[in-house]
Amino acid sequence: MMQLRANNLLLIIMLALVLTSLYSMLTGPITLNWKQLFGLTPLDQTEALVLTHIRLPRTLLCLAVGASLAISGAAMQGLFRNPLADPGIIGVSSGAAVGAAIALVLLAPLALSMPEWISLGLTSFMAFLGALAASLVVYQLAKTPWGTSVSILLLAGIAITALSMSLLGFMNYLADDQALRDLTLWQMGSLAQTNRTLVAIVCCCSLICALLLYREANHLNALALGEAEAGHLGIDVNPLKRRLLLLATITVGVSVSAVGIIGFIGLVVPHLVRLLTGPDHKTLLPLSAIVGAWLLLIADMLARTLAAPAEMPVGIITALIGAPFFIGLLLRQKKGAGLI
Amino acid sequence: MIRLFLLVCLLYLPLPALSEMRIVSAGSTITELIIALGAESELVAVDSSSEVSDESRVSRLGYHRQLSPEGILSLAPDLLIGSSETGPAQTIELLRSAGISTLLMPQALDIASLKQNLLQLADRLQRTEEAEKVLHEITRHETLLNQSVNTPKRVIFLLMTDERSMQMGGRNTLADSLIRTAGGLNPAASQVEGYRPVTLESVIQMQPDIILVAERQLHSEQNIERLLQRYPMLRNTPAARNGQLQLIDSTSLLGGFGLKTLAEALRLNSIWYPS
Repeated sequence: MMQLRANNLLLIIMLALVLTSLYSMLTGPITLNWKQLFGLTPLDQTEALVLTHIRLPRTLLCLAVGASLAISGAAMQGLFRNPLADPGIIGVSSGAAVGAAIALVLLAPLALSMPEWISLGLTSFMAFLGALAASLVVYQLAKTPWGTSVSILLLAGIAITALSMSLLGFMNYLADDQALRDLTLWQMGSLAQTNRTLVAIVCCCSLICALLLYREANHLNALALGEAEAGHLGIDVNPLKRRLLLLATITVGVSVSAVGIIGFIGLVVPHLVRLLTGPDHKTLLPLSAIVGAWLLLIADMLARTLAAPAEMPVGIITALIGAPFFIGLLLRQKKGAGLI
Repeated sequence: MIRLFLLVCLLYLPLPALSEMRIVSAGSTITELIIALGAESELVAVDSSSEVSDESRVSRLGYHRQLSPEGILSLAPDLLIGSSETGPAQTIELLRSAGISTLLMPQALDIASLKQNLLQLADRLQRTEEAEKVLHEITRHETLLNQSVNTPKRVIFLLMTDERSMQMGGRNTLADSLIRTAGGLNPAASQVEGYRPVTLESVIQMQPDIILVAERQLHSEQNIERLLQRYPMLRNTPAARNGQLQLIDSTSLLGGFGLKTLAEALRLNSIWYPS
């Protein structure tokens, strides 16, 4: 398969992203047009509210979450030197799910007596704590006097995920039927978040972390040769691994706590980009972020229009459009390599 | 001729439309009350659990605790009616700031709170006359149900979630309200809260005279025999020995104590205590 020049591709996809973002501001159960978006025709009160309080935060959240998931997915695949790694591999997503479950099941009855600003952000906050706790445990398990072992990290991630799942099962058992339904919906992920503070936090976090991750691109390239080889190239491998893990935990933790679990983006987008431009992290990381943001935006546009005036969980759609697309790419690659 | 033409025109003039509200209802029992008050024509959208007579006229909003603010705004309603369960809070807040009035009533768990909700709703919809009629009917049913029963039957409700497990309706469930309203005694209420998985042993220990099973899961009376084959231990209860496994309409247990729950209670009461 022809590998496109990375710079051209970056330009094309950036343009697509900007256009899609603008289009996303117009798409939804209430129809708006281009002129209204740019303030050329006046908006009525409802339309203005929809634009500023629903569409804008939602579009921003989509971009931030999509980019976060994809770029940390790319970084984790680089760190683990394993294309099957996804951002949840260090237990972040499942830890977040347990945190959210504790908030929804155990703390929800107390939330009524709390001030509103706490109760609105409670689930997200608990989810973030859960994500941090889970990845911290994974890291501690994998730490040895000679640095962290990637294979133990992987196994510890699997073990902690299993433990989280059983805790989640226990929360399911304790839950009444409303909490149960909330929990199911939370796990499917949704971007229908109108809490502006939360959107601002997610956007800032993902921007900063994405930039910091991009700074590690050369180191990730060296790491692809093997840990010892990267060491010989003069890279201090253990602090690098710590930094990568921390950044991935924060980006994914913040995203997941804000919108719930959204699958597929973190696993498949880096793959897709690698198929298009090759494995250089200098292009892989930024392109993954952009493609991730773009894909999530498209999925969310479908989520809010397909069942209007109701809404579908976006996680279902990312998997539904993403998985077949990915299978198609794999088949093409197989053909290109002369395997069929 | 012109007069006749004008007269015909008048007939087609949508006069009531001038005073009609556009109502969004989130909650099956609330929709039920709105329809009972004769305001169905004012409904523009309902949540996924509501039942309406003309499906093509109203939009569906999905799950009543995950309402999409934009979806509702796009229907340009005047009033959103829901329960304390309606949400999320941010959606409600946003709708209020868009100038849509909201009426959120507590979820009813018994006849008294059902009546309160009815009155509040009628007041809001300015349908006090219709409310009188409905209220009268509810009170009539209530007196029928309150006729003294010497020995209340022991009744439990089993919810079969899948092939492997069953859950029992404890206290603070609508199933418990239904049993109590129909004049039964729910032995599970003193032991568990909410719907909880139970062992067959505890079902036998409770010695229920009647076991209620949701119709949605069994579909028809014939399947009761299959249920007993799957759980032969159930045969050790008085309910199974006397053929008292009864099907109930599971939609009557959705979303709070409603008119349908009351009707179901009345039906069960007449089966349990004939004469």
